[in-house]
Amino acid sequence: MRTSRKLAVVAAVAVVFWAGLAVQLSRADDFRAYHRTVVQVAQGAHDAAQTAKLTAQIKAGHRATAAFTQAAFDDAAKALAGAQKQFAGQAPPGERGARLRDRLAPLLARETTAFGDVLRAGDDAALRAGARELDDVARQLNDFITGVLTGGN
Amino acid sequence: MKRFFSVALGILTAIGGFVDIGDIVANAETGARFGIAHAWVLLVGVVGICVYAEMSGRVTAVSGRPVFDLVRERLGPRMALANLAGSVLVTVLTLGAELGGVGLALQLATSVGYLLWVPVVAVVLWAALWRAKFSVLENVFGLTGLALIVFVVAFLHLGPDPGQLWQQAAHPGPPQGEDWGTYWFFAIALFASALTPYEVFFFSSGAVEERWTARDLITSRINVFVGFPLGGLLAFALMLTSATVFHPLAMSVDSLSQVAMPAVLALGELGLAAALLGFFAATFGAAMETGLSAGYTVAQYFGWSWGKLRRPREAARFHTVVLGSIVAGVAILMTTIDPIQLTEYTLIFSAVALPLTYLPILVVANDRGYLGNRVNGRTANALGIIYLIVIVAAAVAAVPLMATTRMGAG
Amino acid sequence: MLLGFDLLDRQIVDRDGQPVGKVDDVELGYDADGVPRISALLTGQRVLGRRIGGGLGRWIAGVAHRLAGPGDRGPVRIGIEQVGRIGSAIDLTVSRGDLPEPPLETWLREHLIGRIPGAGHES
Repeated sequence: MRTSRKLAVVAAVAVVFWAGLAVQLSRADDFRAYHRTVVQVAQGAHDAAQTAKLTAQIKAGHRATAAFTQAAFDDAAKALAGAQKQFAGQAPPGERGARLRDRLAPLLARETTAFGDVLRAGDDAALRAGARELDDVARQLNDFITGVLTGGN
Repeated sequence: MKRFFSVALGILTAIGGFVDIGDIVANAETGARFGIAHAWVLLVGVVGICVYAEMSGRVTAVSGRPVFDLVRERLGPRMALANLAGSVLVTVLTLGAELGGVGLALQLATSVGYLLWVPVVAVVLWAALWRAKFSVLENVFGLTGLALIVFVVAFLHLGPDPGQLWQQAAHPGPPQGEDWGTYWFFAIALFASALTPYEVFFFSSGAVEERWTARDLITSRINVFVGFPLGGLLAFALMLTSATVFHPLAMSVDSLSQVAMPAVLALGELGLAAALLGFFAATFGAAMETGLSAGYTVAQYFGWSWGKLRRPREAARFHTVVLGSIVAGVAILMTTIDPIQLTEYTLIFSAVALPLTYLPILVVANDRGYLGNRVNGRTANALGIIYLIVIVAAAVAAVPLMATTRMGAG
Repeated sequence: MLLGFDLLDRQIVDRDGQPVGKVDDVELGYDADGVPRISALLTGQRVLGRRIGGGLGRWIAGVAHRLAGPGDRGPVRIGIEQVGRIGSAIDLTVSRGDLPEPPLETWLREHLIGRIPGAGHES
């Protein structure tokens, strides 16, 4: 009996913990949650841009195998797609949220274009140009993140 | 010559055991996000694994029995069973993560997706554990894992800024844009990656397979005090290169291709080849160790015959457990969970399970019944107790930090 | 001799150092003067399950019982006269082959491990 009671207590604690976690994670209807999402999306997009930039530089310098650059581009593409999915999956809760969205959306669109250009670049010059563009996008995303985090939205 | 080979056991556990997918991921991630502000955690972790691996090596060399074999006598069958369940769970999760890491390394080398590699790797792993000679496995993967030295070379090539790195190391804490919650979350993950439980199971069981006696105590200590810090140095090189390349770009790392990038940027294709070879050897070696460790712990709890030195048909139960854990590891990956994410979760679970492994070792290492006058001295006990407090604190804090930082996402 | 500390849960190895099992329980008998003495060591999951108790213990014991099949001769019993030195393990004076083999080992060897090529080779 003692064991089963102990088990019941453990199970109850686990359920309460899990429920708390679920509530915590699903409570996404206010501005702060949206703000957090926007920052995460911008960070994800920023990391993807930096990764793609570094990979483009590596490829332009012929410093790695095609298999490696392909895999690295794929990883960056996956990260960008994940950020975009997260971005699309949440509607801005109000006017302030919509303003945040409207500032981030063009950056993501620019990144998507630049990424695509890098992927289909035929020569090293095009790769380098794409890398510069990605670098610029990454810089702007970083500025955006810093601005949003320091409250200047 | 025999001495030389038994020191190789230490090198294997240092490279294949110290640097495994957990260390690769934890060091590269913290390096990118926090610079080397976690350098002290790695140092603390390395000293911790040295303290406890020395104890378990001594217990095994003197008593002729692996540590886990003795745990049941001291904890009783129920507590030891709970302990076994926790340890096996973490070990099998780790095995899954290592298999994923091998798959990812092969993907980077061949551009064939990692999920296609996983079953192939699993079969090769099983065949190696089924037939290959222990000392061969040990030497091949121990020596190949040394390819990770490429990250030390890459670090020197990248022209790092020593002043800035020193600044980061000397001022532990979150840099701008991070908070203390994520800082401690990653500290725990890094600490757990250095102290992964399977290392001590494998270390002491491997010592039994090599038939160590009290005369091998010196070898055991050389293995621990030379081998583990060497592994720690390679792990630190991963953190350093990541801090040099990614931290200034304010980016985080979440794929194996990114971890390899500093070596590529510094040394080109040669750097890439060495990095991938090193990843492969470290993760495959660790997959062997975790697979064996799962079998060791279960067999030692029940008193079954175990070990690679026996014919499989004379240790059918042991080999069944090894086979089963490989199948379970593959099954985990076949859920298509990202291996890097799986590694992150595994590190947190293993942080929670750390006291299960290390408390019994401290108890057994103080037992005159097994060790006679070779029980822990004052230094070993003082360090052991300090570490136990740290381990318990990390275990208690792991899950709350995981929830509040959303796996370190902030 | 302290039963709980010196015997229970200790590893048993045969005269060649091969693992036999753990001391999952002991059998007590009485000598001519009526003093209780240990008469045998018992090993096997059935005995272990009984000692663990509860639902889990019953399950462990149940599986072991089913595996033993119809020709079940109870748990492996090692008479105290077959016990040699008691150190960090318990050394027997007999070989593992002279004792009944644990049913789980037999079953797994016959149905799984023994059927895989190379099972009989040392590595």
